[in-house]
Order: sequence, then C-alpha cells, then structure tokens
Amino acid sequence: MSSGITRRHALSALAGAAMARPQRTAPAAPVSVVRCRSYGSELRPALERLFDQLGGLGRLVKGKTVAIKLNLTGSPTYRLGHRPLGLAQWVHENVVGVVVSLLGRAGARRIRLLESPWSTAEPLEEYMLAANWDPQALANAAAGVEFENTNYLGRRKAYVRFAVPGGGSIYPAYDLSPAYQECDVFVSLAKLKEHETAGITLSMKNCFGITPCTIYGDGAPEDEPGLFPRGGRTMFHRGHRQPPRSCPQEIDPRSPREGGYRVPRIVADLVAARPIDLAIIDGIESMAGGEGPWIRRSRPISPGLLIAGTNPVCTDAVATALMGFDPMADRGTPPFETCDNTMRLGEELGIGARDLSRIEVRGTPIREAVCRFRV
Amino acid sequence: MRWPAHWRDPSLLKLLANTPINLLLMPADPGLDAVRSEARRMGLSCCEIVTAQPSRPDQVRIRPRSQLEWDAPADVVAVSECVWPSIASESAGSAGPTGVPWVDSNGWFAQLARTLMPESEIWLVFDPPGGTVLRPESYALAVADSEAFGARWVVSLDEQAQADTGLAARVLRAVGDALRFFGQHRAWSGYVTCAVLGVLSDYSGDDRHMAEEILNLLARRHLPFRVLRKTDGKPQFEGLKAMIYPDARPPATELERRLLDFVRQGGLLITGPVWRAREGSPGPEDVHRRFDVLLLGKGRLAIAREPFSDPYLVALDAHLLLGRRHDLIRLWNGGSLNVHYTAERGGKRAVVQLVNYSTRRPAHVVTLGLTTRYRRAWFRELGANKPRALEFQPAPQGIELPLPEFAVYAAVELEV
Repeated sequence: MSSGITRRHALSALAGAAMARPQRTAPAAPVSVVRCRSYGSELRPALERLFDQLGGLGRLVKGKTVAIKLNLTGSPTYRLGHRPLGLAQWVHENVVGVVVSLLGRAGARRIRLLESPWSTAEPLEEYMLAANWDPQALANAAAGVEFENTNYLGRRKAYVRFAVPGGGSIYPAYDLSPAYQECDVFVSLAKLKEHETAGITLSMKNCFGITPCTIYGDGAPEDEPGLFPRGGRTMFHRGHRQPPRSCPQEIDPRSPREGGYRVPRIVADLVAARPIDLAIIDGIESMAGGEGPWIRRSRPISPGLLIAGTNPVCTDAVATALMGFDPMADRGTPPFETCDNTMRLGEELGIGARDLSRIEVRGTPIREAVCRFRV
Repeated sequence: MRWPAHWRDPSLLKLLANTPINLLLMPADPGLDAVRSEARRMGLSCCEIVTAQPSRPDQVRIRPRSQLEWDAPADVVAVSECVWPSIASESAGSAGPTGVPWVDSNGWFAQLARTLMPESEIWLVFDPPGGTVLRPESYALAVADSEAFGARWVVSLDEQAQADTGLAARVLRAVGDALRFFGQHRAWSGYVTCAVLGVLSDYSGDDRHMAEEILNLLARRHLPFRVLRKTDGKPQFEGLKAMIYPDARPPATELERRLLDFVRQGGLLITGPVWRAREGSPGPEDVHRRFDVLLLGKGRLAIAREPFSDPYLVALDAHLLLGRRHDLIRLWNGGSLNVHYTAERGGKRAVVQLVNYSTRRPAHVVTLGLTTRYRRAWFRELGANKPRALEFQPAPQGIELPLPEFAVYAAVELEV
C-alpha cells in the first residue's frame, strides 16, 4: 500500500472503529453553546453567557496563571478572498480580546497568549500585526497579559518533556515550550473548522500547534533541537523522518506513514499529555471545506455560534454535531473520510466522552443551532 | 525597441503602428538600410547600440549593470545585465526562504538608478528567455516591472515572436497597451517613494552587491525603502525611522555624527561590526541574537555581531528590528506581487503600483492595507479603460482596500 498502512494496522483500526468503545469510561462534562451573529457589541454578553452556563470563569482561573493556545494557522498574509483571517481560518481577535478581558475580570493573575506561528521565531505580536491585528489592544484587555511564540525556545532555558499517559500511539512523549507547563489553567481557543487531514479542527486539533518546529519542523537538525523553527510539521503527517535524537523518538517506525492515521493519534496524545482545562471554540464566522484558504474547496460560512466546555472531547463532540456531523462517526464517514476520529482516540485515552447522550448541552440546543458544513 | 537583426523587410514596421514605440535600436548593418529609411519616414528614430563611448548622436551605449558608474550620468543610461521579470521556476531551485515565490525583478534596480541618476532616463536592456513560450502578458509584465519603478524597458522579441508575425503582432499590441498606459501616467514617475527605512551605502566597489541585494530582498518583503548614498553631500533622513548601513567600511566622521544624531532623535540604525562608535546602554536582544542592541538617546543602535554576509537575513532582521507597527503598506494574498508606493512631493495624492509576476489572475484576490487613512481611492488595471472607485474597510492599522482581480499590473490611486 502506498500509504504504508499494513493489513495488520488496517484490521486494528477497523476493529477499533467497530468496537467504538472507550477502554475505560471517559468522563463527560457539560458543554455551553450560545448564538452570536457578529464580533461586535453582542460578543461580550454572549461570551459572558457562554462561561456563566459553565458556572463562571472565577472558580477556574482566580489567582491563576492562564495559558491560551490560539489558533493562528498558516501565514498571516494568506486570506480567504478578502476576508480578514479572523473571519475565516483564525480565531477572531475580538474573541481573544473579550476572553482575555473576562479572564482578567475573573481574577486571572497572568494571561499568556501562546501560538507556534508558521516557520518563524518572530514575536507573536509581530505575527499578529502582519494580519492587521492590534496586539496592544489585547495587551490592554487585562492586567498581566503576555505573548509568547512557542515555536522555539526563545529566551527560555530548556524544553519540557510531556509524557503521554499510557505510553502514546506515535511518540511516547513530546518536548514542548515550558510555557505549556508554567500555567495553572490551559485554554485551547480554537476555530470551528473542517480539516483536510483530520476531518475537523476544534479544541483538540488546535493543540497540534503547541509543538515547536525547532524539533518537529522539516528543518529541525538531526541531533539537537534547532535554535529557530524551520518549515512545517510534515514529520507528523508523513513520518518521513524522526525528531532530533535528543528528543523522544517514534514508538513504531513501521506504523502507517499516513496523515489520516498519524495526525489524529498525535493530537489525542498531545491532549492527553498536556490536558486542556477550558476549550473555547469560535464559530461565529468561519470557513467550510478545510482549515485554511490553501484548501481549494474552502468557502466562507457563518455558523453564528460560540461553544465552550471544560472537557475538550465533549466540547469537540458538540461542536462536531453543530457542524452537521456525527461525532461517533469514524474513518470512511464524513468528515473522517480518510482519517481516524480524534475524538474516538481521545475517548479511548480516557480524556472525555464523545457520545452526545452522555453530554449535557447548556444554552442553545444542538438541534436549534446546527450549521451544516457540507451541503 | 531592439529591432530583430534579421527583420530586413520594411513592411514589418507596420507591426509598430498604433504603438507608442518611437525608437529602434539596431546594428549598423547595411542590410537594414531599407528598414532604417522606412522607419525614419514613419517618424521613428533609429539608433545604433554600442558598448564603448558613443562617437555619434545616434549611438546608444549599453553598460553592464555591475559596472555602472553613478557619477557619470547621461541623458539616457542604458543598462544590460537585467533579469527577465518572472516567478523563478522551482526547477531552478531558487524558491526563496520567505515562504512566498521567488521573483526575478528589475524594480529595485530601477528605483536605485532613478534615485542616483535623477536627471537620466534609465533604459533596461534585456531579452526574453529562449526555450520557452511567452504569452503577451509576459511582455506586458516586462514593461510594467520597469515602468512602475521609474525605468523603461527596451522592448525585445523572443525567437518565436520574431519567426511568427501573427504572434509578434499580439505581443506588440500588449506591449503597446502597457506603454500607452504608463505614458498616460507619466506624472507618477515624479512621485517620491513612501518609506520609513533608508539604505545608506556607496552602492559601489565591494559594498555594491550586498547593498543592492538588500534592496532586492526588502522589496520582496513589501518593505518600502529610500535609497541614500553616502557620497551625497547630506543624505536626507527626514521621515525615516530606521536606516541600514550595510557597507563594510565605516562612514566618514561627519556622516557617523549625523547617523548618531539620527539615533539619538529616535531612529534605529542597523549596521555591521565595522561601526566604531559603541555609544549607549545595552538594550533588549533581537530575536535571532545576531545584533548587539544599544539604547542611545531616544533611539537604538543595532550592531551586527558578524559581518553581513546574507542579504536575506539583513532584510529580515531589519524588518524585525524596525517592527511591523511601522509598516506603511501590507498586502494579503500578494505573494506573487511587488509593490511601489509613491506620493506627490508635499501633495495630497499617492499611488500604489502592484506588479503581479505570475501574470495570471490569482486564486485569491488581493487586499491592500495602508496606515495612512486616505479618503478616496481608484483602481486602474492595465488594459482597462476607466478607473474604478474603491471602497475602504477600516482596520486596526489604518485602512484596507479589497482589490478586484488583476493579471499583470494594477495601480491604486489615492487621495487624502
């Protein structure tokens, strides 16, 4: 097989899909859904309601250091038509600003905005400016706001090793920026989108970008992490090379060299290794057909939704349903035609449940808010 | 236009009818006398190309770009060693590390030559590449890449067009349309470049290559620059926020003093380790740790730890040290474009000229961002008769203008 999927792996994947059963009972947590049609004045009350439906932010963040992984995928100079990036592939800057403001109001001691922007070591603020964002407005949204490019070590001394509970599917552990350890609360602030390789990209898939390209990038050296990031994470997709020798190596280099097999497993493992405490999904304006304008069939879509939860699998399952897909679907069924379901893998790791019958939806019911990404 | 040497039939001159081409460069070959005679009867000038000092008024000397002497200006400065403007093919292995396509352009050189020889008309002499089928749009691009930056291309046909008069007619129609467009907007060539970054160099000797390549790579970052020459009595720093001094030799004492004043007043000076005056207190490290940054007065002095060797890195570092908050212009989906942003001296008008090296309408439309909040804007595309009024979108950093699709060249006229 050209994809590198062996009969053994294929049978194993099919068996897993057929059973569709967690290895141990995965926890379930409520997911909050609110309607919001624009990023204007209605945004702040909508986000307040979103978090109030979860019991408020204070209990989660008061006195804590909060790290927010943003979804700023691809180049800041690449747009879907004329649409600013926040109306398509990026989380919108107003959502970031209001979330930061609400976290500050809820008592967060420090708020770090984190992202590993594409193949660059430039400061995150510079990356935002290139998209015509105003990072100063984000810095002013609360006290103690910091920005950090986690695509490289920057001024920090050493990467931190995050072991995958249970040993991992592809890698046993990941070396990440210490910014992902030095936080009391980890927030994944994602966009409601499909994904060419993983079917969907929501709060879990957003964590693909916590990995530094100094280690997992195409231009990473063979022995030690590079000083600066070079290239994308093709290594994760194709497995054509290993990370630098000083970093955790693949468990089974004979496993399929295929993105639809590897990427969902890597994402699920990353979320198990660096748990998400709060998942927030910006689905007000987005794009359908893929994760960025480089996907040919991509088009604008306006779901008008905000989704949040403290369990990323549950949150992504509700978001998947709101996109018109079945979160219980697996390889061969939309949107997972050519990949495994990351939520199933997360469920099997015990992160959270994807069965909607086990998830309490607070706020707008799914049936009233579905926005079909495929017509 | 460089008349093909084997086009000895005067009737071929009809191909130039309805084009603004008014001068033919041709060898002093008696076999072309009939063409010369008919051309003059049609009102066209004919000149001979020479590579040495001209001995007659109808001779034009062509000088290689690398040997051009800035202090020997002439009415017409015709320069060879130019590139055929295009997106470099991947097979050439020249895709840049910028993540956007590598572009071959003469624009930076045209801007340099126009600045250092302001009284001269700059002619760029280059031929189409062989072994490839060129569409008329490629010829229009060759015109636009020269004219948008203040120079003129000496039109030259490739072998296929020379062998096929039908193709030559289509090519010359496209060239004629482009020349006519720029002829109608000749006033733009009197505008001055809008820039907050200056590049101060001798642009000669051992420093020439580095300084010129920095201009080329700043252009690819869509980071406008002002060309400044050390030997000018008093290079003008007004309006600049940053300066690159790339030369391997330190500046003269007086220029050094002026540069330090520029820094003290809030400017950023980016220079190599040859810099002598290490004044100021240590400042924040640059991202790539390639510079010692000193705080001096209200500004910063960034002294490279190693001599400049890679112009790509110099351009990248300059942009990072300066910071994107000082960007005057931004493009989205503009990877295949170069841009020239100029404004009337002390006036209310400006123009952003956009050259698309792909010569095809892009998969995604281009958005133009400007920090100046202009009040009116018009879009002019090569080949279109009338300008189109553009609508503005407010943006955190100024304004954004969603542009219609265009294939080769467009200009956005602006008014405050």
